Amino acid sequence: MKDMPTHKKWQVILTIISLLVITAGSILFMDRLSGTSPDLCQDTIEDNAMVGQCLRYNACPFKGIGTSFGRFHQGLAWHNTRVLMAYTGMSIHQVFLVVRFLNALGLIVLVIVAWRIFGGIEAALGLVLTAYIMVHMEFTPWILNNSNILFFLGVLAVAVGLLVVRIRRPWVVLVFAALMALIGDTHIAATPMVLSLLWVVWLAEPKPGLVLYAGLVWSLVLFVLSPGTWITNISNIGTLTRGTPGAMGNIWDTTSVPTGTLALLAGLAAWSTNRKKRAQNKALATLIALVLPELLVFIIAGMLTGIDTTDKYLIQTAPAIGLLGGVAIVRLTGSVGERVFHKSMRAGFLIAPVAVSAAGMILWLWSVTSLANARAKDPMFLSRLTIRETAVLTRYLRSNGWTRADLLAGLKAPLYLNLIEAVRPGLAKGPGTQKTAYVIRIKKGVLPDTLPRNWHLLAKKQNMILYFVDEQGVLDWHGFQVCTRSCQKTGFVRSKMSFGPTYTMQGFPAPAKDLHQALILKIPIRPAANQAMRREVYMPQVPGWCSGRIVGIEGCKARITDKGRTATYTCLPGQQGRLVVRWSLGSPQCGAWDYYGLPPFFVEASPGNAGLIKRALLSYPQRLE
Amino acid sequence: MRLRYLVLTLLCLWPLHARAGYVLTADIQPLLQELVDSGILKQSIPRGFDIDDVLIQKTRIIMKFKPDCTLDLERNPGHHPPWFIEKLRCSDISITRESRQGLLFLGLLLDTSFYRTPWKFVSTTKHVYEPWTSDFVPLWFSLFDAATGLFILLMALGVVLYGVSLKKSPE
Repeated sequence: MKDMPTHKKWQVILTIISLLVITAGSILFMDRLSGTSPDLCQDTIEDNAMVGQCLRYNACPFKGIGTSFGRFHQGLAWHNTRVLMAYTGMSIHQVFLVVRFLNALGLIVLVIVAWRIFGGIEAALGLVLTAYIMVHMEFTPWILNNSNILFFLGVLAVAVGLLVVRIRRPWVVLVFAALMALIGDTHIAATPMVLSLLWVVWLAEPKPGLVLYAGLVWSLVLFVLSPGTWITNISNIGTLTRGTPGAMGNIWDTTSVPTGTLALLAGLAAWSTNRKKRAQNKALATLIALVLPELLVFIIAGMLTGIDTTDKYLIQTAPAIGLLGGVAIVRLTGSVGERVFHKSMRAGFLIAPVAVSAAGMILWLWSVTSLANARAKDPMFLSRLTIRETAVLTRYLRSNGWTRADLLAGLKAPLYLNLIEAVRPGLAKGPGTQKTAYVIRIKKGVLPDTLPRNWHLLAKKQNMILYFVDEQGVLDWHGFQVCTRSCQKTGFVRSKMSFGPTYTMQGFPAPAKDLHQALILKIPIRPAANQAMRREVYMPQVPGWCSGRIVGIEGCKARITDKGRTATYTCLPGQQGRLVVRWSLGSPQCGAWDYYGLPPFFVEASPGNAGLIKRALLSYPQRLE
Repeated sequence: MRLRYLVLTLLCLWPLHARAGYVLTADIQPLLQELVDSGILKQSIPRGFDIDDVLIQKTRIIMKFKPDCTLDLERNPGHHPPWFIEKLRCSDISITRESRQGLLFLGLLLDTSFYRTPWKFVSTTKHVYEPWTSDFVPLWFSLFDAATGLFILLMALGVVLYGVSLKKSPE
């Protein structure tokens, strides 16, 4: 450092500063985008069940978890990592922290590699574009599942892929092939990246033998990582099913497809601008090779199968798309900034660190509202509690004497199944009483600050509030009937399956993708013996929940309005009645992923509570009729 | 150079060797024949039987055969034998639950081969039901897999570090 010229010294200092800014910016950005506690969703519950079974019974998964299409399995690398983390004593929040940190590290690695290979401005632009794609696509880093880690793995794919072309050594090809296999074993949607692998290796050294070698290593590593998964998947290729007709959305409405296409077009244009820069052009071609195959497979597979497309399956290509866009923009604009600044040596060394620092600052100062909106865009955002909120709820129930039986029959919440799975182990066994309560999560300001005394505030974070509403229940959830072809008395039974929900309802149709059936529940109304009572029923119309209709209220004076979505009824003292509600399973109002084999959520409460809960639920996204 | 290339490949693929024992396949017929031979099943399984479904749960394995036979095995954690036959219901097959020797044999068979041999169930109708019926492997297997994945990740990070430490290309 002593013998260095002054401008060199400054270059080192500024580089260090810019890296610190990028590190701080990336960590803050990922923290704000992901939140501090993961949402409690079905994927996490199933992962937890697998981990628990593995550690408790020494019976660990051999072929990952089932996919939503065909009889394929996936994600064993992720599940085994979860097992290892749990084995070392890590809590679920610590696992989430690690994943969050790795995704932040991904942003840092992307900048460093891009800076070394393309330049500071390209790196800075690539980073900002990547962050933009992450925020606007359907990536859900607030959920702890195998998709979440794919961003970090995608960055490594870009970094190693670029180095394969630059270093051109077989051992780097070997590592690249192994990494691509690991990515494919983490999520089945990332297996088409094998095409990128072969293309990149061809770009590095156009030798068929080397490409064959890479393909062989990929296949073998994939098989070594998860033999059960891949033998099963190969055996089940014929089971690839078509999705629900019309379910596939417009792929151009996603973020990744149009952005990826634009980046590809710009990249191709940039590639043809200056063919003299062979090394830079090869690196550019590498980025194209990392984006194009996966994007094409995503579009073609979606069109052929009709499976609903969500661009979260392209998250592993987001770093390549972002960087490709950044590099292409700089190349196409003729690197104006660099030309201006390079005129002066003094300013020339400034440009890269300043650009990178600026990108870091953009990440640092990224609008918190925009990041919160990214999360709020998730249709299940309001319905799902975070794991921390679930723990608060469990403590509250336990301290108020709720038993497991009370939980099953008395707790009413939108994603009830998830709550049962997460809360039940924390409660004591014991007989059920007639407790009823609603758990509602709403945005701040939706309800007045002063609420009835039976509304208990459980948790409050930023602009979200979690309420626990005590309700004097009159529906007898211990003695109701389910009618499909015929009617029968129903109740909770322990599920026979090793994974998935612990409980199912006797006589309820099993959830299935091709289920088309009416589900009718007849629930006895048991009012107090000494006083008349007036009640309200409300069927919410929220996407992701089953929306049903109130068919009738027998034995009490009732008025059903709004096409069966709301009803009021009055029962005289001791007068017993029956509420009849109906759902069309497999219809647009109650799709395959909305029904869990349990009674769908609806509100039945005293007029005061029902009005407030309805008001809260109307602040959720509403299903369009 | 070529030798290093070969060594690195072998190094990367060494876990395959450990896995060799896990990818064997076997037909259900010999297993059931062994159950018959060991005295668990009084009568031999009729030839041409057909496996209808196999359900593997935390503590149970239920095998359904056509026509109308169900073999229900219950897991007995921490005990030996670790699996015992809860019931076998079939029109022309019956079971002797008191056959301790047979149960022990079954326990050993399942405890070891269930992990080591994911049986391939191929019915006489050529319909493959679940080629890999063994949903579960021991904990060490999972940890080994995770370690392999982490090893690959570390190698990739190593390559990235090596790559960025190289001098920039003259362009």
